[in-house]
Amino acid sequence: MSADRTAPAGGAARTEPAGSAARTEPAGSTARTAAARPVAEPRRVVLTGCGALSSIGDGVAEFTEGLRAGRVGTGDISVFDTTGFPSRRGHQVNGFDAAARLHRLEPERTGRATQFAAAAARMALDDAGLDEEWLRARRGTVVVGTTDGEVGELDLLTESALALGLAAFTGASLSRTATGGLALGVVRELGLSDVEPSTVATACAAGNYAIGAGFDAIRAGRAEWALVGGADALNRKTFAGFARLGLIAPDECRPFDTDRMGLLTGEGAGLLLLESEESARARGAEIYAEVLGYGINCDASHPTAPERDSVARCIRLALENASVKPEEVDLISAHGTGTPTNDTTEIAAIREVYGDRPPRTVGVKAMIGHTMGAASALGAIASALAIRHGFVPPTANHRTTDPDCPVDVVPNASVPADVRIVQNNGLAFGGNNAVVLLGRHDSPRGEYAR
Amino acid sequence: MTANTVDVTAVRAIIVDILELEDDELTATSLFIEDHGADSLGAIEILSRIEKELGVVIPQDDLAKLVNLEAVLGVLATAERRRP
Amino acid sequence: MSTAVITAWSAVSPYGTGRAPLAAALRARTAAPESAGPEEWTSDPETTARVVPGFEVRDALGKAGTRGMDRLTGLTAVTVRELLAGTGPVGEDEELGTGLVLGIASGSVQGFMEFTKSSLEGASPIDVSPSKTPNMAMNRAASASAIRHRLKGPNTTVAAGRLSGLVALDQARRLLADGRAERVLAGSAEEYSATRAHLTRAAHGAGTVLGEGCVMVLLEPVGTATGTPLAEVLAVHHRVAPDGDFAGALAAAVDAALAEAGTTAAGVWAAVPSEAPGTAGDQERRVHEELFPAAARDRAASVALLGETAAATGAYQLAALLSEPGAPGRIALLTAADPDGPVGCAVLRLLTDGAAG
Repeated sequence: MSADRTAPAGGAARTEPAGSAARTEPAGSTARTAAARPVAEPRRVVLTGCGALSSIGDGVAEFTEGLRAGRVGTGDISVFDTTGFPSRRGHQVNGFDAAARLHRLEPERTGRATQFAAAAARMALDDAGLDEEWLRARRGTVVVGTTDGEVGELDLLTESALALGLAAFTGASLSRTATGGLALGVVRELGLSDVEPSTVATACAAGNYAIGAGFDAIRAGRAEWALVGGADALNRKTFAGFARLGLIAPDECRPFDTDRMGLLTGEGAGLLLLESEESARARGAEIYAEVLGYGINCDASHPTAPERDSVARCIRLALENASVKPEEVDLISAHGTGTPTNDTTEIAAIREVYGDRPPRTVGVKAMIGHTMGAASALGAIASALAIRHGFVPPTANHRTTDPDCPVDVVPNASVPADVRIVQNNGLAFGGNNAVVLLGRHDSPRGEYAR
Repeated sequence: MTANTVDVTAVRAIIVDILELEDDELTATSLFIEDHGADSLGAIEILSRIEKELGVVIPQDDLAKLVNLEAVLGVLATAERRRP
Repeated sequence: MSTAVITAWSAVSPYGTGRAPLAAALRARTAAPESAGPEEWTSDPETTARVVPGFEVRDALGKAGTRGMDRLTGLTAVTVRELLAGTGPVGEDEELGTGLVLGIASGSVQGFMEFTKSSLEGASPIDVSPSKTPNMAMNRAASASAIRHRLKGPNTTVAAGRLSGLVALDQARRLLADGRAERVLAGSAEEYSATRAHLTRAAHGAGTVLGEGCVMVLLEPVGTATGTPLAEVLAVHHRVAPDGDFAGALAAAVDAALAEAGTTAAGVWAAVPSEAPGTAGDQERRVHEELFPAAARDRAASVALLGETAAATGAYQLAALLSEPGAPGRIALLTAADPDGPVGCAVLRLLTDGAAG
């Protein structure tokens, strides 16, 4: 816990290293490199560009408007044949025009998840007021989280193989279906080379993992910028799996509701442009939020069910890393899938850390569905928008809060609020937890704009 | 709802296979989780295999009821046939 | 970056289970034996590959918690078991815990495609196997290994094609440098499957002989290592080749890594390429020929002995370097290239005579 720390609200003016292990030397202190540009003091990391693709809107402006309006993007899935499934409802990105969004990648040779990642990266770059040349002039990192990678392509390949036999496997199939293609697709779309791409496949917490990796890289001076987040596309394999486990809601996803009946699978991408505070200030960039810190851990307990104490431990790791006390957190963007087990366990973990008066805790999956590897990245963007624009996005589709989930879920309608620090949760199958903390940046360009 | 004639032998075979038991280990009332070490996925697998092999539909709400053989047979007695 | 040291390693390879059979075969330059892969959808009984002979997940790991577990997860979990068997006990109460970073290519492609096949062919589209649903998450191998050994630190699955082993090593040392874990298991794994064979041969030629396996190393901060340091990870650098210029990008990556390591090409005792298929591999070899004398290039075993091992390649290269005897303090280098563009380089200092195990 961070009780022994003295961190001012907002995380401003913190001078101590954000690393939680005091015995670890500041990164770079023993390196012998000039190329990696080691820094003596850990740098502050800020978010200056957001790219979002979701069922409630593409681009940060539409996404913001959707969150504020409490818009729900549920519809019938059409990207694969849903005949015979108990339900065909989900959250699809409709009207995505890959050819218009992508400048270099050829849509016909690129899987849907990679298209999403690359398009959202370009949006984030534009939103940050940057261009490819700026990226090329600096060492950077691209980390894209995903649950399924290009499994949708494997679905198509399976159909082809059943129809055609081995002729279905063509020379392009291997690279089209490679999971690493998501981060590589971003690099190709932006025409980059001196950049380290990696695709993090830690299932439904992957977006937060990616943000954490980018945060550490910039904080330690290993990278000057980071394009991080997550992307996933709807596919039959995952839809069938969740349906088989009985985890798909018949009508709507209702996080923390007494009558919640499961999740709705979704698709989309959230990419964030991170840079050092110094860099953002020098170029007069608008700052959405500061990334204050994060925590990651593993339940090491059950393949599909989350464990309360371990999730609580992850939250504590994040708070400690960010030098934030629980009472300083204004809002929690929950993992909140709407399944009975997740929501009860997650709220119990939150209460284990926050006691009887946890901050407002919202589940944006009611609006955008469970976008898998993109989920915590879109959750982080929603958190940053809450800080920047001074509102709390609602938990939509809400009727009655489950007595086992005793928190203020901000039902159905967003509320104006002075949001300074937000905790963004990502929990995954396999017990892979990741929690990111974002805070308002008290710079002239970082004040919130209503 | 229809009352079904349940193929007890087939149901037993599915459960014994999934829980990896000797046939005499499974009694009408021995508990899948507590006595046979199954986890939540094991219960879903039992439901899934029975649906598939016996051509019935078991509502997901009934999953929690499937704690032992007797309970499975009880649920099956009123389960609906799968649509062709 | 703060220095990390490798204090233990293990493997499951076509030569057998554990470090010793792999190390001995690599020292002897023995090509991995070819045998038939598992019988499964689209498999051809005539096809052989450098597979782990007779590997069956449930025989290797026992029946508890392994129902439906895919081969990739099985190979990884056995490697982790073997690795931890040779190290001190894992402290569950440690603040940050033991992390695990696993490099993969695409998870179990066979498992994914068979799951979809069940959905397409079943009387109902949800007639898929519940016991296989945990495999459907690509973090299955890493998380199942953590579950079996209560590894509660950061648990990361990273996909970067043939660079996955190198990227996993890099991410693991970052977790230590950034104070995110007490110690980290890092490595990469690949399973042989019929569908992976079809995908690989369609891309790289019908004559491609596939391999599989898993190698994991234990990485600890230099100051707090509890085991005997075997090697120090001095540098890792990776980037992307633009427009097929693998040689240019790889040379730049090698330069950056050597600079970070504080050495030069002339100081390299052994250099091991990733033996990438096609143009990427040709250019990778050319870079080695231009930078390193034949003595350094021939010093350690080639991973070509193992066949095309995709994501596992980088970890096998590490094994080749850790297995090769010599005077302590020697500098070892590996490069990686993926035909899709990524290239990279890692530099180690080997701290023992390499004769153990």
